[in-house]
Amino acid sequence: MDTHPESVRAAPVREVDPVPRPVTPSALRRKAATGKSPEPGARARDLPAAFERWYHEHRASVYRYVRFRVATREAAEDVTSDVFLKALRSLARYDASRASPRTWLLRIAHNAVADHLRALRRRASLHVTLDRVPDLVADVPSQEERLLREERIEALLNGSRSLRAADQEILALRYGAGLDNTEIGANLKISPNAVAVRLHRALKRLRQAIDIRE
Amino acid sequence: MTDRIEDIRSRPAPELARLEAELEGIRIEERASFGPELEAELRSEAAGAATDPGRRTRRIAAAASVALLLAAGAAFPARAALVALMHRLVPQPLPSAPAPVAPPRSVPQGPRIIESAPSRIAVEGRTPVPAPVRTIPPRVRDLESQRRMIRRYYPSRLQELRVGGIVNVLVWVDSVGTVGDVQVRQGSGHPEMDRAALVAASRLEFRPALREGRPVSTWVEFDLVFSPEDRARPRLAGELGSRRSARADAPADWTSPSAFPASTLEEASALLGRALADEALVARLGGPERIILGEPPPGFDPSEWREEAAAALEAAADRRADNPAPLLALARITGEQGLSEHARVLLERGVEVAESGAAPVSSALRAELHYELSRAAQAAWRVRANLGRVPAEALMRASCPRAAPLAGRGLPGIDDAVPAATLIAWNYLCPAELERILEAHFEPDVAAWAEHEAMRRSLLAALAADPGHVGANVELLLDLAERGEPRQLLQRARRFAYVSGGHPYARLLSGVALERIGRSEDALSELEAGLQGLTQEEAARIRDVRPLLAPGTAELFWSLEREDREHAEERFWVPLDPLVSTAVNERFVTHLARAVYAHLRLGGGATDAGGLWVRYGKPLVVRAVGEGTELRTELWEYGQGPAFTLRRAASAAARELTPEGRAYLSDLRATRPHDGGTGGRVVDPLPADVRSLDPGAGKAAIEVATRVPEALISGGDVLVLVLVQLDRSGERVAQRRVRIPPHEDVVVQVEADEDATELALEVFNPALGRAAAARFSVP
Repeated sequence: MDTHPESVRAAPVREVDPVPRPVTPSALRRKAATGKSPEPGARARDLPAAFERWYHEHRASVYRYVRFRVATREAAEDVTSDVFLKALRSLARYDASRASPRTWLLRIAHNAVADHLRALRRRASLHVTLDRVPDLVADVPSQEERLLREERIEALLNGSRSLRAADQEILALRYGAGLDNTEIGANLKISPNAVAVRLHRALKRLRQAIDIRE
Repeated sequence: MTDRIEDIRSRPAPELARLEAELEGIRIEERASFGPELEAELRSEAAGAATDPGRRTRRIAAAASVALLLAAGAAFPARAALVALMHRLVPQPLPSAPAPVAPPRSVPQGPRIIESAPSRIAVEGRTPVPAPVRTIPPRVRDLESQRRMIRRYYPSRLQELRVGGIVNVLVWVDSVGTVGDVQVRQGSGHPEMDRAALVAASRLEFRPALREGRPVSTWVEFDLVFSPEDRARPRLAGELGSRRSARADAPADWTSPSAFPASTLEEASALLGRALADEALVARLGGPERIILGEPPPGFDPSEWREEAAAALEAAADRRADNPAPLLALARITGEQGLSEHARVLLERGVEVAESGAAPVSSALRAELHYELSRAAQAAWRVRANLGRVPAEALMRASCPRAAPLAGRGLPGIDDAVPAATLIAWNYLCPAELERILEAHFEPDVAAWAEHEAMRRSLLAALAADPGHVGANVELLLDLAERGEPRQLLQRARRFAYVSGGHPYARLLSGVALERIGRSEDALSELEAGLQGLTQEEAARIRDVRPLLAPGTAELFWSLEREDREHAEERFWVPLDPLVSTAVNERFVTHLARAVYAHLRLGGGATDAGGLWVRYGKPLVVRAVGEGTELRTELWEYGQGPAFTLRRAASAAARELTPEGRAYLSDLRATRPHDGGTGGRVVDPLPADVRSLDPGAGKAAIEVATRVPEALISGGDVLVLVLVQLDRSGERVAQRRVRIPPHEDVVVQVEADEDATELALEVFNPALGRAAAARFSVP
């Protein structure tokens, strides 16, 4: 069980931003010019120790969860950044007795994804990307087979985006974040058995959505 | 309930296991620098929060300015712009150009077209196109000269012994059309002949197979036929993809469906000889074959010959009531004299005799009798086809001031019907008004369909007796094509192709059917296979694009050297392609399908009616007037503007444009030389709102918002969306394809290729066979 460090308690409490925020133009320009992190000359700042550990332990889970829910790698990066910025700002409100750090981060991620999708839905459009999906990879030796696999992955993800939000959520937690049924249950506040049933139904609906009969 | 849940938990349902495995197999890789970048951002945030409480306000203000910079980019995330920019600044490694492809060592078994794996990989170092697409098989160049070449390798010893055979060979055709490797898959049983086939096949010249419009290397399998009977015309029985190789007893001359098959002629001649029972008379009339065919011998006055032959045949028919041959011969002679009704009665008797079983008659001869009877019924049907009348009072209630001075002129109509001349005048002076009148008041001659039914019945009876009867098959298929029943047409054409071992007309008419139901890729391979089986001249007549060109251009086109003409023809089709992402040019396929029909039914694209068909397709409605006269006036309605007016003799098939029709066509050709029409694969227009998402001046990313037409989302559960990027010369530089659920509003984001100047967005509904397309410039 993670403990809540003293130093975090001392940090000022901040309001959580209601919507995802883009990074600043200056940061953009610096990244574009150097391909490195922003403020390269800046002195390394300290993160709260526990937060730094959680960041290293759970960033991959959060990213994968988000990537499962959004159309592009770029959007996934934006939303993931937002998740950790929000977590950092609301660290003081974290209550270890109510959720593990991963569950807490994934719940913030759930809200951030919902915000992102809401922004897209304002245009009432289905968003698809036709770019290669360079971060979805398949470990197959042949180039040709790899291309087909990658296209299949795109089809699965684009298909999953036509499902209702609850189905997308459970699929992303299972196959994106890699949680087991108990962990998903803790996250969604339902029993592992209910998770199994919902997952089964979501898979069935996904199969219908993506015509895998071929 | 608990059991069921436990069941689901412990093992996923088998039908979902594959899906689950696929989902579990997805590996998502972060961009390598993402973690450190974000960590630095978080550190900066932590430090800023500690030292500068006003910083957040500044960041929000800055964020607002980014939003403006991104040109109202509500949906496009800032980091995307960054990544896109980085992609542009840091060149991505391109796959190397494909190396020349060597034939695979082991030859796969099974399918006839075997694709080379490397041809599926990147095209000229651009974005790979992984979606499975159809390959158009290689075609033999200059079929006639290749046939001559093969004939030279027919071993002379076997020729003298009159030994023929079929050698099934497998040939590797590379991407420039050169044969790289030849293997005998099934020999003829004569090693000498197999060796000859190997040498001949290695000298064949091909047009390479096309995949996505680009030449690729493939294996191709076909039969080389060496036939002693066929010395004048040895065949490349290369109907690529046909279910059976060429039948050994296929008719020697496939290209004339109305010709009397040789074996039937032999049987009919023997029967006729027995019926006439007067050798001297038969010899004087030129022999039984000439009598059956109705051909007077040289030096005989044709009228006298017909009279004398008819008298002898009538006597024989009376004498031998169990022999149908005299009736057949008599009907043919009577038909030659234009007495089709008389001929029809004789043939009905002939069919009755043959079907009665009184004398042994082969099924081929019975089929021939039914076929002849169908031709007589067809002549009667033609007289009344599409015929009808417009009552005079229908015009009285309407008004066409420009046509008023013509009132009372011209031939009066029969039984108070509007005369043809008046209809023609109204057609060109008040087309909309006339169309309204015809819709409401045209009275079709419904009884005429009885003749059509009689013709159809005889054709079906002929095919029941001999399913491979060429003439009956072709007539029935053309009738189905004319009546717009593509699925039946396809079914029948396939059956004909099967029983005939791939008759070129069967393949061509399969192609016509497939084009009409929107399966353009399949249609093209059938049409190409059919054209390969024809003589070079006949195939060239069908492919001819001259009817589609403006008159001056057509002459210029014809004056070119053959190579240049072929090149010009290819370039002519490129801009007409309505769907660039598909493996075929749909407009070209439509042209071939129309030209095939025009060739087989209307005398080809050079005739008036054939030319109209090739240019503008099948008319929506054909109406004919002129009942009770020897002249028919046909109105070919295309749904807009005046109908085309054509004339034909009542019993004839040949039509020609009326002078007014010719003038109208001449005007129309200046503005609309041809039209893709509404048949075949339907391509709706697609609205598209395009914008660049790059904050800079480049074109790193493009967003296309589109509204998918309702017709495309009204059925099926998946849409295929393709975005093609084209360079200045119209070549594809990148193509992406994705399956999406049916949805009306779709926004697509794609990274632009730096060479792309034009985009084509295409949406397909595979279940409905419909598509929508838009072309636009890269912003």
